Amino acid sequence: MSKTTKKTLTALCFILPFFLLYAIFTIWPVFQGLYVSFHKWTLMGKQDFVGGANYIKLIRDAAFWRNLKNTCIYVAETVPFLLLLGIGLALLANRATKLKKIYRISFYLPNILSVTVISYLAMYIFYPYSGFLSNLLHDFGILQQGQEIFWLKEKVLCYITVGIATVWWTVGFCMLLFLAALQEIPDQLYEAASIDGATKAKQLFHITLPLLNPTTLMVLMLQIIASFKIFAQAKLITNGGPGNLTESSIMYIYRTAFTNNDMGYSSAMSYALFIILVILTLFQLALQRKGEVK
Amino acid sequence: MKKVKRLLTLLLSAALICALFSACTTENNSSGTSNSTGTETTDVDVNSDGTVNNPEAVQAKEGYQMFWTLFSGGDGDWMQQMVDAYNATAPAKPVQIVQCVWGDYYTKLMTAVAADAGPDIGVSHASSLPMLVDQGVVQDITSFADAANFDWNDYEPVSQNSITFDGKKYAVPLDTHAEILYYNTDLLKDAGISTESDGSVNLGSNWDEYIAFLETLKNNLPEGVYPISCTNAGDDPYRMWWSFYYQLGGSDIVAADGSCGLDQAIAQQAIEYVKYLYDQQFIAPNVEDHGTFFQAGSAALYTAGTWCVGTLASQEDLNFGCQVQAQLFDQEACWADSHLLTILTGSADPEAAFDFISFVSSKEGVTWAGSGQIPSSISIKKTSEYTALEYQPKYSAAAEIAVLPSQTPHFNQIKTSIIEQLDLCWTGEQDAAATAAALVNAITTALS
Repeated sequence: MSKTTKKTLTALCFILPFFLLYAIFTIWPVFQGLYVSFHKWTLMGKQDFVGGANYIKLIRDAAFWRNLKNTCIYVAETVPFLLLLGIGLALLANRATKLKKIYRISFYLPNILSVTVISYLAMYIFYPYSGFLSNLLHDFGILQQGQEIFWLKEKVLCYITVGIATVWWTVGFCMLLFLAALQEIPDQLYEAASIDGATKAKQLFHITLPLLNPTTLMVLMLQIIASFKIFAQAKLITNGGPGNLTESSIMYIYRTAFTNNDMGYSSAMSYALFIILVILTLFQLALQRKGEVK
Repeated sequence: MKKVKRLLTLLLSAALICALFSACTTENNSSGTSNSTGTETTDVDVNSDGTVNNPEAVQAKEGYQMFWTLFSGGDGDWMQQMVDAYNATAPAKPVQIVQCVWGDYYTKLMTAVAADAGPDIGVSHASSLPMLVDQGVVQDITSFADAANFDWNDYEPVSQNSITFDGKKYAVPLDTHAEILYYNTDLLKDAGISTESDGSVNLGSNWDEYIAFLETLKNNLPEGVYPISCTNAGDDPYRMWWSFYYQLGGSDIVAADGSCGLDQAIAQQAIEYVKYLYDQQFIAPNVEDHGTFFQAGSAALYTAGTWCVGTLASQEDLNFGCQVQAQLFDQEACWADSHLLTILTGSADPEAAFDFISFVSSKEGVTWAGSGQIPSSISIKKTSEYTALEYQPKYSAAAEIAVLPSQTPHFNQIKTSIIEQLDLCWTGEQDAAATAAALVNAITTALS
């Protein structure tokens, strides 16, 4: 056996355990889900083959398109803040100050909490009458006695509440990616720019941000995909309320599968969402390549 | 040196693989025992409240039947008492109970039965039984009941209908749990309203009298105290709408032929009556937890389920009464659901399972009444032990006027859709006419 073959075999031995589990629990369900989407399928198992009926139902389902619109709103309200705050916090955490470590830890800390914890924190803060924010606003006289802001009940405020919780929870991850990218920018570029008389602001806009472009596009792509999959915090904090006005696509898919006991249709919706995300991602990658060519 | 390196590499790979597989095993939250089963096992994931996340991992003791329930906390304790009482009779097959998490009970039950790993006995709501029957999760118990000479006449017609499909019976009713009225007697006294000789409060016999009663409360209660405590979204205003709809003479929301039977005009009327209570601020706005709101003395009346009586009774400084909801329109009706005891498909000994469920329903109803629910057995409600209870006899008549969920496998989907549309109306996003039309659309979609 040649040396290369031995090395390859050794590498395969290390990869195999993970790959086996990945194939069983991630790759196989992808194909199984597609199979389920062509059937009437309940928690009790396969019922009937229905062909494309679930996909035709999806096209006519006003609830699916409404929830897709709601999901787009979640994406539009969280992704820009995640990008801007992520870059801002990374720049702050990258400065050579005594507080550098504290910045890095405190900015990233929310990201290690579970979604249940941050959701209950959000509810504790935003509850009317007894919530932290309500008490604070009353104490400072911003809200008068008997006045309340119903953060968890009114449509626009529901979006804002879930958006704030999501951004606070996720921004640490974005910061980490930008921080790693900032470390890669050679100091000589800044030194040369300083010698040439460039101000800090000019260095930021003409050196830092352009060199962060690849990371920015990667974070943008990751956060768009992640925001499209918003579920747990929206379910726990507002449950898609009022009514179903802020229900996301994944919440509707979950409800269809486990409340309505219709796994086939929920699988079809999952695939529709998957195709939408693939198209978005390809579009983004095409834009990115175009930018690189320029 | 090369051999040492090779050996180290192999050992490291083996260690990683072992670590990977050991990480895949379920973590045990308890010390290795489950207090709901009494069975020693290290695979069971038990929560701090005694509910089990993976009931299929619980091994039945030798010769025992397995019973999965969705009751925990106080209700779980009452059910454990009933199981202990049955086991004390030295039956051929005693019962072992597992308390499942309420939120995913039906999902776990159905997937377990599908995988042939389900229990012998289960609990179902009347709203979910049609789905379980349709999916073949529960067994026809008619023959077992006939063999045991079970007396079905001991149950209200509405209870019997809820467990009968095509002439066959699929469960034994355990209780009816209805939406009833609780009232703070101190607040009523402060508002100058006296109770009747039997302790009940007269809310009026029609809508106008009811509104006059609420106006009296509103004008005489202290600042910040409201006539009614109710949420403005979710189950409770839906139950109020349901009661009004059927009191107004509304037809079954699912017709006998399986199509939408909702009377849109009456549905709209019922919506308008409920909305009026919100618009006139008889109901406190935007209350998240209307139980806590009532217990804090912030409302004189509280519409909630029979299961709340225990919580209210445990509060020493709360003087309250309870009764069946008032008839304000043409018919007597109130929202209710029912807990039913079922025998699951795949049960090893269905005769033994029937022996247990019939015992619990027909003999342990007084014990179960401690949870606040109304026992389904009529004879139990006539016993001196039941009539001696402080609160329960005052609302037991709700079982006679209860309108249980429609018999369709899609009821849970219909209910979710109805609540969604009603919530839009209560919060002012949609008017009553559009909401009633949306209800028809939602029910039709669910049934298609």
